[in-house]
Amino acid sequence: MRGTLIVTPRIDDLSRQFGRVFDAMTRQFDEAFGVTPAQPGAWPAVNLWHDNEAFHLEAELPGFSLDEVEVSATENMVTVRGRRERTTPEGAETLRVERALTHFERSVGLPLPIDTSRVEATLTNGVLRVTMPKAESARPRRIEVRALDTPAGETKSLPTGAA
Amino acid sequence: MNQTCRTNPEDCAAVSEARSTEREFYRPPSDFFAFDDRFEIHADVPGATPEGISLTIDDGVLTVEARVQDRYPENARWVQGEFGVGDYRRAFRLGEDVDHEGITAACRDGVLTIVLPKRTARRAQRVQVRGG
Repeated sequence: MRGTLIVTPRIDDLSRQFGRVFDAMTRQFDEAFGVTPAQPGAWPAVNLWHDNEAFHLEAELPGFSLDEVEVSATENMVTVRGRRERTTPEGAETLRVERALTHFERSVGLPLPIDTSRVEATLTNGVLRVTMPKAESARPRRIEVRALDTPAGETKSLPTGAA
Repeated sequence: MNQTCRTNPEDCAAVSEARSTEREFYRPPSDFFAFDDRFEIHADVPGATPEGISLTIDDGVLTVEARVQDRYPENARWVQGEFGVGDYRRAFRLGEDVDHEGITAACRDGVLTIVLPKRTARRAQRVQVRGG
């Protein structure tokens, strides 16, 4: 599946290696596209895709427990919040830190409206997945094509004022 | 595909073997801690499960691999793709302090914890301070 991802111009593999996602250039790019990180510091990358029924968002939040993650949604935006204290284990000397994700808030704009009453979110093996069913008005509807009735002998003409 | 593959079977084998070892891996960000009696490595491997973890030690190098299942449908229409999904791998060179036989690992909520016990002779010993 990796080959078909649309990768936004952002050095993501590098950030995964070094555990740092926040970057001034990235923030400007994301703000232009309706993504607004509320706090400086590391925040998670997100994947967003859709099918006929719903939008799906994923964020990698390794080590977060259910009560450390909060998801909220409006008709056209989903927000993921995380709060976690990162403490050194008791009796340990820290040799090196690469994992930076503690507090973050990230909002992602949705290009079509969703039905907020049916949004579901799961956190499994450190992966958050949010499923957002599209609002009725946003789902594709089949339009029936009819012939315009024309009495015999008359020429067809466009209604006046039609584009 | 190597053109000589048609005429020389050995060339075919060489090409396919090279391809099968070519894989992309993600290098998991990891924290390193030292305790009195052990080291610990905490690695972020979101999407991995205990069944997919393998640890091998060869010539003083510990290689950790965590396999991850593909989880996106074929018919997905992408809006924003900021991270890829794939297997993790990272190698660590073990020093003399580490007891290779005692290394254990556990995986939970997408975090892999590797415990590397120190060789007994190398453990920090608390020295009792007597008064008087």
